[in-house]
Amino acid sequence: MARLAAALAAAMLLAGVALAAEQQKVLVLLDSPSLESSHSAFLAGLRSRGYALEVRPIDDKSLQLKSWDEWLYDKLVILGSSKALGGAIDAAQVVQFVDEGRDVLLAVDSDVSEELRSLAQDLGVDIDSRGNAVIDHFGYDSHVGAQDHAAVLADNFVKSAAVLPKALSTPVLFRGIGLSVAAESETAFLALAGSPTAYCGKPGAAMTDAKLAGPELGLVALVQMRNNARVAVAGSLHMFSDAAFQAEATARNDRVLGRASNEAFCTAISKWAFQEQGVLRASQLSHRVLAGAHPGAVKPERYRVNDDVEFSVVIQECADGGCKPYTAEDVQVELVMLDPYIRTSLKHDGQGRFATQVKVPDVYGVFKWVLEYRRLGYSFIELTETVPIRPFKHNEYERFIVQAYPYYASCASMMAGFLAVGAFFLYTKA
Amino acid sequence: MAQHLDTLKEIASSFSAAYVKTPTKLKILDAFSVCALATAVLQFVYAKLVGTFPFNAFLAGFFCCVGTFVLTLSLRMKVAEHGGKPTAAKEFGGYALAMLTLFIAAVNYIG
Repeated sequence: MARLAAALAAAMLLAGVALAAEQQKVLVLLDSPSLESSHSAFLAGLRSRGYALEVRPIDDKSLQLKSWDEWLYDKLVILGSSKALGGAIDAAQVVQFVDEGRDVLLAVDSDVSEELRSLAQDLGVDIDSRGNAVIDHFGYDSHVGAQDHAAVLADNFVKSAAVLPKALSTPVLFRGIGLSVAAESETAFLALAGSPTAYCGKPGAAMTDAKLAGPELGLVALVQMRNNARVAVAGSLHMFSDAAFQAEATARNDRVLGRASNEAFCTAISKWAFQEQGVLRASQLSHRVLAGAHPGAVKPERYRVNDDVEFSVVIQECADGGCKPYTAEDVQVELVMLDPYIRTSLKHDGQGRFATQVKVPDVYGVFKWVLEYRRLGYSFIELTETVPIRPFKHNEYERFIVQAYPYYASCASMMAGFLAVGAFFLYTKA
Repeated sequence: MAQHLDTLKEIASSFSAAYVKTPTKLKILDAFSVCALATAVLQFVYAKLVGTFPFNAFLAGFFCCVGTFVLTLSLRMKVAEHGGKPTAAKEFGGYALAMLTLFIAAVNYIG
């Protein structure tokens, strides 16, 4: 019960964050002051979405992320490069910031400092060696990348409507360093990956085996933490710049593809990272007995074995400050006592209410409903509700069953026979 | 074949001739135990036919009969030792106690 309350509180907190009328405070750390003007469109975009930005140099001596155990900011944006974090902020504190459910957007370039690299690593994203850059000798942009082929056009977007609600028709112009996430990672995924011919290496140097290449080469990685905090790590500062937002994507041989999708893409990933997109909110978890010991009982203290019960929960998808009913056929719930005794899909009614009807097992013990829903790009839902299952009470068994009448009769006849024989035995003289 | 039949007839007639001399008390106990055994067999056949659904009721009924059979036979053995004398009545106390215990257990279990 307490865990459920905590989970619901967390879900509501997340939704509340999106809906809160008061402005959320965002700390923006810049590697150099010139970034404020060169990335003005991106920062203005954040302001227009209702965030109160506080723009500071990354190595400012007076930087503070928390004061007396209270976080001073709701989100953190780091447009970093060669400089380390300054003031009272260090990588461990940023990790703690994320551990406590707050969101971080980290963008670096090829000149990335060791501290920012290890920060990304702590958050689940590996940044390639300092000085390397993403190179594509086939998919480079012929305006800005003709020289070293290190400004590439990337269109290997993640296929998730939660991250990119609208498909992007043109590629993203990317100049920066490559990333990777562990293949077995449950939390991190690539929002933008390299084309089949892209690799990460030293520009201008010949290379025979690239550690990172093709679709495994990440350009932008997103992390959905288990506590539903979110992190975005981009290997490029340039992709967020005004110049990139305005750039025309021009493929090899000066083939013009149209305006690069940088603005739409960067807005989408910052929205995702700041819980404005792909947030699932579960509420009104309920279960009731349909047929059994107490038909109609809502959230009973316990079930009896073989009760017919209904489990239901309301799931909403929140995006851009509003919530609408979530629709999916793959939401499952389990009834678990160490092992899942029941695992079944929930059916939704189009209004966001997911429900299923099951017969609880013929086993008694402390069971719990477990709903764990983890889908790419969506926040995780983890709900548990403990409901013990009890056996029949001694007076709840069926009695006077017609089929058993011969057995009753045999027992009665033995008693009658005993009385008759006893009377005869004691009172006859013979 | 006819020879065998004759032998069986001879056994039956000599048995019945001898059994007539048995005291009435023993005859009554014999009849009761045969009844109990027959009821047990009938219940077994019935359970085979209709299935074991109220299994507790079947077990209670069946073992009530079997228990009655066994206890009655043991009473008969004790009584036979007394050779039909009135002193045999004192054996009945133990028998009654055992039967009551059996019935209580059976009724509890029959559901």
